[in-house]
Amino acid sequence: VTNQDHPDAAGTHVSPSAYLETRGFKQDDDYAFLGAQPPGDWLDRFAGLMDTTRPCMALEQTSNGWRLFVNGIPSAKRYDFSGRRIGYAVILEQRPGSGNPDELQVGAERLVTSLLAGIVSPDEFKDASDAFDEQFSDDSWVAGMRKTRSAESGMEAERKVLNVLARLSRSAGGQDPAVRRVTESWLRDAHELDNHARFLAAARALLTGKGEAGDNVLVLNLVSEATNVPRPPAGASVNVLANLPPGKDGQPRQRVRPQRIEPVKPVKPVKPVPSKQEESATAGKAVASLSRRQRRQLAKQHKAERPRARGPLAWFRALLRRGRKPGTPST
Amino acid sequence: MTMPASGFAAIAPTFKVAMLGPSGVGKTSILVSMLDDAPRALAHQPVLLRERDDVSQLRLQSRREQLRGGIANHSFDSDALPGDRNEAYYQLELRVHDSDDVRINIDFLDYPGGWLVPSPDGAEDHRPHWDEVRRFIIDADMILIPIDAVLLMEARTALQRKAVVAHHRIAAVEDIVEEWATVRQGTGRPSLLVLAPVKTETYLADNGGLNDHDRELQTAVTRAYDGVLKRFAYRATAAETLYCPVDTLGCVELTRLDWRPDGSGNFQPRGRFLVRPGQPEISIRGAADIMIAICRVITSYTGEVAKQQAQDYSSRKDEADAQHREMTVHLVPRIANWITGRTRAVERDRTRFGWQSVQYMGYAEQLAKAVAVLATTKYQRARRISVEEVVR
Repeated sequence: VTNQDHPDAAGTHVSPSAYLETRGFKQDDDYAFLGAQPPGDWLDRFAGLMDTTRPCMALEQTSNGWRLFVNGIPSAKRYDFSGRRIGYAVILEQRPGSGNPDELQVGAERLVTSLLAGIVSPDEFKDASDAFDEQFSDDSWVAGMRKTRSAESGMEAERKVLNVLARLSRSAGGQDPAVRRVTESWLRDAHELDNHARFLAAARALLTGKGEAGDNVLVLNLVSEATNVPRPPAGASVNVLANLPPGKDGQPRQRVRPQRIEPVKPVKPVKPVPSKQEESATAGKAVASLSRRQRRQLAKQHKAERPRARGPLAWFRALLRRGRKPGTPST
Repeated sequence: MTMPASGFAAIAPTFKVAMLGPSGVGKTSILVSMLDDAPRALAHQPVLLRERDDVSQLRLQSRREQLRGGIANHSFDSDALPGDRNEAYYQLELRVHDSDDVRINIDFLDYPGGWLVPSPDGAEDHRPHWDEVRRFIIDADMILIPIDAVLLMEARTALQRKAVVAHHRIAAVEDIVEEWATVRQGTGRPSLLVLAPVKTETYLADNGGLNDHDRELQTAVTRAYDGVLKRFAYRATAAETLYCPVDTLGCVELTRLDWRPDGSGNFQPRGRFLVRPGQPEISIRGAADIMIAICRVITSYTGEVAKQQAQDYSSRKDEADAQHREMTVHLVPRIANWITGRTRAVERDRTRFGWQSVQYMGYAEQLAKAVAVLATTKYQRARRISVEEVVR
């Protein structure tokens, strides 16, 4: 399935910058993106570490912007045929030419804040839930859009997501001028409020374009150890909050201790190994440059270093094995 | 000499258990019930079932809590069970007691039921995922078909009965089961098909229920899935078919079933449940039978393979013994063989094959013991469906 582009005001084709995944009421209308399918497979790296029935997110700095996946925002009033509460997942992409970058950034930041608050207390999802429900409450529209793939429908879904972001942005605070990139990589517990500020600082740095390509800010819900998180490439960072499920049989939730994530060590350039032919050619040249006396000395030395000639037993064994005298050339 | 690490793994590759059912029928609930109830079900059995990795453990824990979260304020609310959007693998390991070597991997797969039948005018975004899931199903050793017992038992009119068939996507299930059975023919691997009605609390009396409609439920299930059973029976005559009703919650009673028309001539049925007074705790029943059936099939098959492997190594050792005897009868060839190193090679083979034969025989004995105990365990609810009966 390819992404559907649409023409912008200047007439050039750009793909939507916002995508929404949800479902309709009917059994047939299972979860799908509305109007257009987001491009690429960048989320595949984290697919095994995310349980899409619970809140999780991934934010990645790209070479010319960022992309964000936020999953697990529950609807406040929409249910499917069997009474299950319907959820929303959003993908936002900020790149040159993708709408108003400030609006997208503020909306994305607000979405991330809502997700963190909702993880600790599900009631905190209310604002985000209401904002999505306002735009996506018409079930027949949702059912139709999940089957449609066209530039116009992609644009229509994008417009509605941007409306959601605009509504969320209204309640956002002012911009923080002192945003700095978080260079160290770590894994911390999503249920500890102290970690939220660090996490939001890391996310804000990426959303304001202060990150390095390859930086990731993630909320993963199938990870409790740093060793299970994909290591960032040298120079990039990854900041992860682990959103673990409640403990078994009413036990307290397992707490995730803060852990460092080691980046991949830069690979040292490998010295090319000369081939056998190259080696013998080099050796041949070296021998040719020697005087006759030096060559004689080298031959003597070589003879002395050679393994001792094999005795009669070895000769006999070789004879039995090959049926020929050792040293005779094979046919 | 040490046994190669992959020794047992080589004869017991991972067994696969796939679910086959549409959205909202109870795939995740039955899977969670089975895995959740496994420690209790296998407490007196010679086998242990454990998650193989953190991801499976966390995923299972999460689903378990979602299921428990549905029971609140004296009613069951499926609000707490969000639908899945991606396929989810649960990787487990079956260990035989008293043996650290005998470990058998079992993978369970759950997926969004909407993938089972793509709507004709729908977008096919999930197609690559479904292809992978379908490959897993066709390659699976066991297929579990969850069935909504409430819909089967409460459908009264012709339209409602038609809605039940459509709701369960029985035609699609038939096709996949037939393909699965065809592929498995001649593979020598075990095949187990389980028809598992869920939400049976209102119709069975052995878990606190008020009514007993056990026979009616079985009749309704076998009648609705007659095509599936026939297609399976024709293709896989040696395979096992099991009927196993499951209470995933056990403490609820159906109060109402709404047949809500969806505007396209079909129904979107939804049951409403209340928690039984005085029984507020989840009490799973029937899921243990499925686990025991799976363990039986797996241990029995693996035991047979281990036995065959032991016999194979034993005969190879006998051959090496005979060769050794022949080589050492006369003096001259004896010296020649010793000089050429052949004697040492044959001696090495004798030791290796002898040792491996003993190892595999040990595995086979341990598995045979486990099979014997599992075989004597009575099912709480499960019943075998006779192939002859189905075909007739």
